[in-house]
Amino acid sequence: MDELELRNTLKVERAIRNLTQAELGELAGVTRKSVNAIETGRMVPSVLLALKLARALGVSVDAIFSLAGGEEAVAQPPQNVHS
Amino acid sequence: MVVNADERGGGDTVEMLLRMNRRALAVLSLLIVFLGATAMAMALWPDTPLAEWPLRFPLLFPIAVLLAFFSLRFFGGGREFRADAAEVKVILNDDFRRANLLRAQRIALVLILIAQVPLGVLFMRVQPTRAVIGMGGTTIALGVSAVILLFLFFDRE
Repeated sequence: MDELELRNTLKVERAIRNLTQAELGELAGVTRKSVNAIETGRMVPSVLLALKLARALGVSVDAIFSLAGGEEAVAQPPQNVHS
Repeated sequence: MVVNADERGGGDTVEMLLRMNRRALAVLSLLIVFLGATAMAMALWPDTPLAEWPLRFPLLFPIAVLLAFFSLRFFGGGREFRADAAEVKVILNDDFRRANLLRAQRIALVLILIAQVPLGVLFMRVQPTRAVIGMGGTTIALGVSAVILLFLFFDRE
């Protein structure tokens, strides 16, 4: 199975809103280091933090975070369990 | 809704607290390493100055701790921070710091377990009471300082 990787557009969304990492961190209730670690892929955020970041930026979580790699596995719709 | 960061303030305070915290942890790790070295010296080399200072100058360590505490406060601008202050909560609940602390704890545990073998060999030739004191002190110092130093390493920019 292909390795799935979390990608994010946090830096782009932040730049669009002209926010610094520290400002975004403040809005989401985390430190600048957390924002930096997520942007550079050093840390995978918790669901709660992803939701907080999305709320702080005024977008949905999908708009910031996406899965890359292993497209076949992800793209397949779930099998219909009803006969 | 996008909240304006300028309305909230406090970002600089968080940064300052983070820097202070890193400094305090570095100083703390030095003190712990020194205590560990003292415990080791008391068991292995009891006649050396490193082993004798707690008996000769019993007030030296509390004074050093107080000096370190006040110098850190001085370099931190002498500001008071309550434990329930918003900036302190941000740091305590920060995801990156928590993840780094967990990582540091896991690796430090492995280090402590591995270190038991050389420590056991080292303390084999001394009296059992001294060996227990030496191994206990060294293990605690090694564990705590390893957690702090690994955390500082992972938490760097």
